Amino acid sequence: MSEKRDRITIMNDMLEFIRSKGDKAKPTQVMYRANLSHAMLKEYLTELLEKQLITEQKSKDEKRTYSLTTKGFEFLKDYQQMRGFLESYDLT
Amino acid sequence: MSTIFLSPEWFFKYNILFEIFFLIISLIIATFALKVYRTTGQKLAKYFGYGFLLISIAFLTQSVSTFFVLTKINTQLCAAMQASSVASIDAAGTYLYMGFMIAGIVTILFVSLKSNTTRTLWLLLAASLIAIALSRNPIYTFYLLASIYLAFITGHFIAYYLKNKKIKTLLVALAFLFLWFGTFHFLISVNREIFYVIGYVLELIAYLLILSNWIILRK
Repeated sequence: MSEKRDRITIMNDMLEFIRSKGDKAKPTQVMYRANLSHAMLKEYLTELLEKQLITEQKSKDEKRTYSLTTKGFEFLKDYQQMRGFLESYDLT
Repeated sequence: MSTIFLSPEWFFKYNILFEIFFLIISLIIATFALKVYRTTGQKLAKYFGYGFLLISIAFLTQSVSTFFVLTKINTQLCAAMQASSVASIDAAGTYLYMGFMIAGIVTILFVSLKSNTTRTLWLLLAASLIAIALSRNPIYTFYLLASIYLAFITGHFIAYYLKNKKIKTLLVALAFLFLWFGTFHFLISVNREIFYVIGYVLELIAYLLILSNWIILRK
């Protein structure tokens, strides 16, 4: 499995987790669920935000939460198909 | 040197329909594999996509040349002088078909071998193309090599299915098994027209299985 693929898998795990939390998850929850260090979490969240897969919301007390965008939901849908494709043809 | 003249006359028009169907399916698989590569960076998906893309180009060249030859035949103006040009169109189409098809099969073989170096791919490709080009009977050599390679690929997917028993892996193993049967069938179809048709039917089953797997994945 290549480094980039692992990256995609982690991104998928993060998006799946946000979805499973009713499309609203705190960064610390995502960090523990995806088993990431604080630095890595920051890096991945930046990437997901840049790719417009998630959006960030800030509450009055400056606490951040993340939600999936339409593109994020599409990624999750496609990811299952892509993983299915890779599995069927033994491309992993 | 001709493929169209191996085919029974009544099957000519169906030839094109079959080839267009195979072309569409292989193009769908190639496009999706390359999309997967762009998203995941998975190199095997890239080579797999290129493999099916080459196969779809092979079907495109064959269907175009078959169509061209057929329209020439149907004009009734195909006098003895023009017959040689029809034959050369068919020969060119056949050579292009064999080149692209063997390149596609070799690329898929390379994926199934899971080799770490692309030198394996180039070696297999060069050896296959040279063997076909220098052979006294290029069609026979092509089908022989394609049968051997597909036997390896089929073996790989059967072993993979036995390790990972799922509907989708079964469909893929069966699809390659039928592709192998179909290709092997062409090998014995020289001078036996009906076997040529059976070869196409076996390939049709293979591509229908690939399509079924694709539909299951899309659900």
